[in-house]
Amino acid sequence: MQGRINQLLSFSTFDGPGTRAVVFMQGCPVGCLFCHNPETWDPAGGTLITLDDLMRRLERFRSFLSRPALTITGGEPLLQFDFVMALCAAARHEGWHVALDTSACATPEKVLAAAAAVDLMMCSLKPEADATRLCKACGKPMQRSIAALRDQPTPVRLRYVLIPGFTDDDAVLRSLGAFARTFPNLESVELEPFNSLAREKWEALGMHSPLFDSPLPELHEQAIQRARELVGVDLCMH
Amino acid sequence: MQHNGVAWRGFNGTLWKKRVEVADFIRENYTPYYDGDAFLAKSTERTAALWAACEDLMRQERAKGGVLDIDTKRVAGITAWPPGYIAKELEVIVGLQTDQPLKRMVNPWGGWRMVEAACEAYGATPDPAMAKIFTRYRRTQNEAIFRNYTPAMRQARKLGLITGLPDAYGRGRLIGDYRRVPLYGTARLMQDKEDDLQRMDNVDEFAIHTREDIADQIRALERMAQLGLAYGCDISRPAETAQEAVQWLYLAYLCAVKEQNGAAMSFGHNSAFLDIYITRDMAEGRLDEAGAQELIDQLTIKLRLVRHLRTPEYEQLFAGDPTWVTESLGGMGEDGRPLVTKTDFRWLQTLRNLGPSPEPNLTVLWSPRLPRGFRQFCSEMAIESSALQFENDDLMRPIFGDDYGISCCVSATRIGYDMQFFGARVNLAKALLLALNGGRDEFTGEPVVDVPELSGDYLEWESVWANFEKVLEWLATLYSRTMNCIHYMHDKFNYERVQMAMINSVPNRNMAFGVAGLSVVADSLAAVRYARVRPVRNASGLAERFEVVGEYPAYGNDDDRADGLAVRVVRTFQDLLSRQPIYRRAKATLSVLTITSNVVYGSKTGATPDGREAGKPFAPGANPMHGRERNGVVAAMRSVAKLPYDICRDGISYTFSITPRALGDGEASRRANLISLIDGYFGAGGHHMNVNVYGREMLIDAMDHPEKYPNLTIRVSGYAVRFNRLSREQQQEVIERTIFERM
Repeated sequence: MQGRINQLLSFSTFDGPGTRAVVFMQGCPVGCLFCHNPETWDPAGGTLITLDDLMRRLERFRSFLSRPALTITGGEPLLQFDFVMALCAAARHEGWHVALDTSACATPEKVLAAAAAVDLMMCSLKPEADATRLCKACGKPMQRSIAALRDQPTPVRLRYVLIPGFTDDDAVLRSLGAFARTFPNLESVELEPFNSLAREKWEALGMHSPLFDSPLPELHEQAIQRARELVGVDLCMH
Repeated sequence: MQHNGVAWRGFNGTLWKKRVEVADFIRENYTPYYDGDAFLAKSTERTAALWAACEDLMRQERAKGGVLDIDTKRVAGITAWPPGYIAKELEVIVGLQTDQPLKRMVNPWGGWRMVEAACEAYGATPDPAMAKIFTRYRRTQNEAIFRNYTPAMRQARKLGLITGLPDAYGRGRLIGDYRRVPLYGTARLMQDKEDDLQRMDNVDEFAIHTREDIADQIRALERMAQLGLAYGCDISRPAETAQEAVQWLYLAYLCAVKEQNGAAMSFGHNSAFLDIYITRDMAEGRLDEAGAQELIDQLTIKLRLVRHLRTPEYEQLFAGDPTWVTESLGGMGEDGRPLVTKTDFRWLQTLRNLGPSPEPNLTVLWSPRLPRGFRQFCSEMAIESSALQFENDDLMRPIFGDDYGISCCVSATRIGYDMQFFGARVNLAKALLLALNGGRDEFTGEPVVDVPELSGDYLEWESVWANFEKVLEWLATLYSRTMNCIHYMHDKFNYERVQMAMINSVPNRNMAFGVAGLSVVADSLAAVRYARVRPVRNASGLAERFEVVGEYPAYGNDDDRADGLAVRVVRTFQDLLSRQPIYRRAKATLSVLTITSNVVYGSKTGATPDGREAGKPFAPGANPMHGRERNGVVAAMRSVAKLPYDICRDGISYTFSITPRALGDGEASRRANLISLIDGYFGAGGHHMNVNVYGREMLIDAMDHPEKYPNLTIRVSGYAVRFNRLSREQQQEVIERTIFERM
């Protein structure tokens, strides 16, 4: 069985709890203007790798991590559903803690099946398209798929990118908190302050985004703290 | 045995009393410590005042361009100066290289030209009478070596193929077993050396040479005792208290740095030894924790003041005025008990009490079996100070036993049993370019070595490797002969009688060869083998640059294709070296280490097939090239760990830099994650790791506003350095290095 990956990262403290290996799957239909990995969008890009090879490479990182933990992200991992399901099964069989980082841009059936195959669902909540036009794909169906995760036992972490002037509106943040509270299996809400470090990647790909073309005001610690309070400090990480 | 009843009161064991065997004394008497750092004390007021005075002197030193003062009248030597003090009433441990703190010695034994150049660089003039002696009557190491260099040796040196050779100053790298002085006193050591002398007959050249050495060592011990008396210390007898043990130990080391200006004169592995005296004094009610910490703080202050007079060219290779007073901490005992004592913690505590500093070069001999409290404290201090290096005790202990120390950066040495002939390094990337240019230098076109020209538009793997092997074979021969010449003359004209007086009379000798540019070569070979490389040749047929068509696997991504090439290169070169006849029956060892010379080496090397431009720095030590580690830090570490320590017994240096946030979210998780990474790296067979935890923004800010970061210390390759002592170019290179972070 083969999958298309963009990168295998051997050590990360940004993609879920603890230290983790991270597989970046290739291909993403969501197309967010704040994306830090636009090189993962093209479903025909990346490199093909067999499941066995991927597992072999992964195993070599095991002893460096505080516990064997893997995050599958992308791209949108659910685009290569069969491969990702097989990867989750293989990794968990070998004792890896598996987290899936997804925008849930797939049918609720697939999202639920994925949740049953992992230890942690990390779902990126996208801003609603009609409000901000930050994503090619519409946020509504994704949100519905995420909402379906309430009724199953796998813990859910909700991730949300804070972009000053775009996604940090008070009402939006309050409703994010309200939405999060409807999850009995909520692990936490992770607010990710936007930064423009991916500018060079966008330029190199000849792609344009208003968020990277001109510098945005920096998000200060106070603004982040305020966002946490609007969402609900008890829900947020830290 | 003399009247050692007072000095040795309460000490167990018999073997170490019969013969000089410090390791046995330690095993019989030390107390392993299994808990955390809660017991540690701050500096005493007196020590804080002393350190403030030193910091002020160091500020003045920096303001004067790096050198505070030079004594141009006297020749460096054990008893050349009357006693010197910083502020006598504040000093618990005494002794300076000259009569004033930070005043540098003129050391002409290595070479007169270096003295002249160094004095001139700092606006001083050496004494004419001294000049006359060392140019007319006394031959120096440097003069003798240059008379004996062949044209090929001179050429390789000039082109930058072999660089950093100790042919104009002390070779360093020796660690005397300085502990022998406090434990036995110099009188007993002299008696032992006399016995060795009597036992050895003048049967052949080897024996005569050894007898002459021992006779020299005995004279050194006499002088050392005289120096002790000048400071009011009778070091002819063993130390009776902890204060005396620290003082005697330091005086023994001080004699070495008064007479020698070796690049790296390391201190050893002294904590468990000193801890025995401290524990005894505490049990006798003579010392409390503040007093114990004061001894280590004050010893550290003295070690931070060691200086040598260097030339600006030397500074290019080894930036920041390093002295490599390497002190090894921790390690496991062969009997299964950790060699960790409270005094190992006290050494680390100096980084807080006195602030982070490159010296002494604190080196943790690391094992997963070390007590948890110590591992946590080491991790915490590494993150806090970026001033620690870690070396794999489980890799070294089976080879060297448990009483070894790190010399310089990565070179393991059995203390009192081993000595080594330091041999700097060869530029492997330049050697590869010789192979691609028909044996001609890539800049000047002058013929260097006889290998066939390569034909065809694209480089073809088989013929490239065949040529490279030929160049390496020629280079190994030239390199070892150059080293033989240097060390023959060094022994003859600049013998380290002080350190050798504290090493067994017939030591094991290693010749420590080295390589630079390994990752450039591995990637270049990978490009030739797995992509297509077209040399763009100029009118005289020299490759000016290389076009790479397609992608190649780069070293540093846990890809066996590229990593295997790096292994193949070191294996080939070490195999060639080990076949060479070597001076004084020494064994050839190999290091993958550059110090800061990766910048100079790069500047002397043309464009390489990996896509590196002409003149650009190499990665330091065994590091993958900057920015080519696409799979994160663990994959990079796995690649470096594949270099076999078995082949590179002189050490494999890896410098790891990461931002605090990328290491973990919060202090506790950073500490734990660093421990996991070191355990993982060493478990995979890695040898050495410099740990840097900082962000690029801070370095850039420090480059533009040095005054904001007077004490910013970073690990480069095998040593730490104050960032503001690096040249702009070196600072730039440090900033361009891979610092693992994440958007």
